[in-house]
Amino acid sequence: MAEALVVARFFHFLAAMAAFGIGAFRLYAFAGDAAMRDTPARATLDAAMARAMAGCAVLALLTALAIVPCVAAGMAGSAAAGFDPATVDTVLFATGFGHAWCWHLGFAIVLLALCAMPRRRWQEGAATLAALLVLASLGWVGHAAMDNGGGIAHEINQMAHLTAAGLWLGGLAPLGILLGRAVRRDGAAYVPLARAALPHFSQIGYVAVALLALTGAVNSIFLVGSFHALAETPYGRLLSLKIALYLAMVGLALVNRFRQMPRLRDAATTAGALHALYRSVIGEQALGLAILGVVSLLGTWPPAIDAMMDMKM
Amino acid sequence: MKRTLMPIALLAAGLPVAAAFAHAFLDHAVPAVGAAVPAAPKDVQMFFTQALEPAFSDAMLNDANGQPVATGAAAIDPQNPMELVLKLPPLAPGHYKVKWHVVSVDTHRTEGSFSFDIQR
Repeated sequence: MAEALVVARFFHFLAAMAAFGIGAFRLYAFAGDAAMRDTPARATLDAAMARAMAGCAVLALLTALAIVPCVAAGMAGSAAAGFDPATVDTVLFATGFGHAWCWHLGFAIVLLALCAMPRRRWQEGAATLAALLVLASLGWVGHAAMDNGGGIAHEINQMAHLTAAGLWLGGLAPLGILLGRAVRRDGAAYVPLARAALPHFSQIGYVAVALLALTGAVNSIFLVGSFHALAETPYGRLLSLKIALYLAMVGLALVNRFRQMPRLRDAATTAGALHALYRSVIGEQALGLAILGVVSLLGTWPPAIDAMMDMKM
Repeated sequence: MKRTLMPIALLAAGLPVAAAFAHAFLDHAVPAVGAAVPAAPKDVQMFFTQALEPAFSDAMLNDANGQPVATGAAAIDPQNPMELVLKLPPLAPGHYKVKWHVVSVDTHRTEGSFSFDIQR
């Protein structure tokens, strides 16, 4: 069941981050570009984004439900208990995890309902807000939910960390969809959309990358405590791997920003730049998936601060 | 790069080093782990490194022959969510082993055991 929990967590993080990333992208990517509002390409792209977001909403709800028996089995100490109704009932209604998870499941249901609705003006914003709540409420459970020590500060920090990750990692999903269309042989109609969206994504990216570093550092203080623990404990080493993957992503993003994006201004180099950007975004997505894999595992391991304590004992 | 690192460093330096533990480990117990006590205690108090989930935290007592001692369920101290209390019946002198299993509020299960002696 421990392995099932890691897998469920991976797909849950993926779905929650992509859902929010797509929702936010739809709101900011073409903000202020009135010329692009009613083109056929924009309408097709919007429909593709809406489908992708609905798919994420389905996956988020299914994995949120799948996590319940996994956690119940872990708490009760036996795999069978995960499917015992009385145990599941106790987990959902008589533990701190259950209290937070009921809200989380509620947000996931609202998100799915909003994604399934026919499109209205307020629906995009409302669905994005629901996706934000699904993502941020993940900060109420897990290692950030320890109520001694960090408490509320740690939870707020974790919610900010998740939101920033959704904007950047999650935003790579819609960016990949858009660039994938723009680099097609028949994708000329999407090129102006990509040109308009990239600077917006880049601006959001700066904020998200900085916020990730800041909140990640605060998190590490809570859960690792020292550079020694970062190097010497299994949790610390896995976290170091996550940081290395993050830095590789930042490296790719910087190359895109300062080498490829200026080439978009010139019609002669636009096609080449878009291809390079698309390849790079695919690479960033792969790194992002690796980070989510590490995170899925990390949450189930005792933090370094515990392991150091254990060594002392 | 220096400019971005400075606020992080300042923040890190300014934060109190909170005693935050994400898995609940036994910090200490009364009677103490491995102790020999002169009189039978009326309960075993176990202090953990993190707040516990009452529904999934319990402890049991075995005597020197490995036979379970009837104790009733262990309970979380109402004043201290990190403390598990196992009320004891009157115990004869001898060797006893406490087995505990707890779930911390971040859902992680840990278990362990320790012994104590009641002197004659």
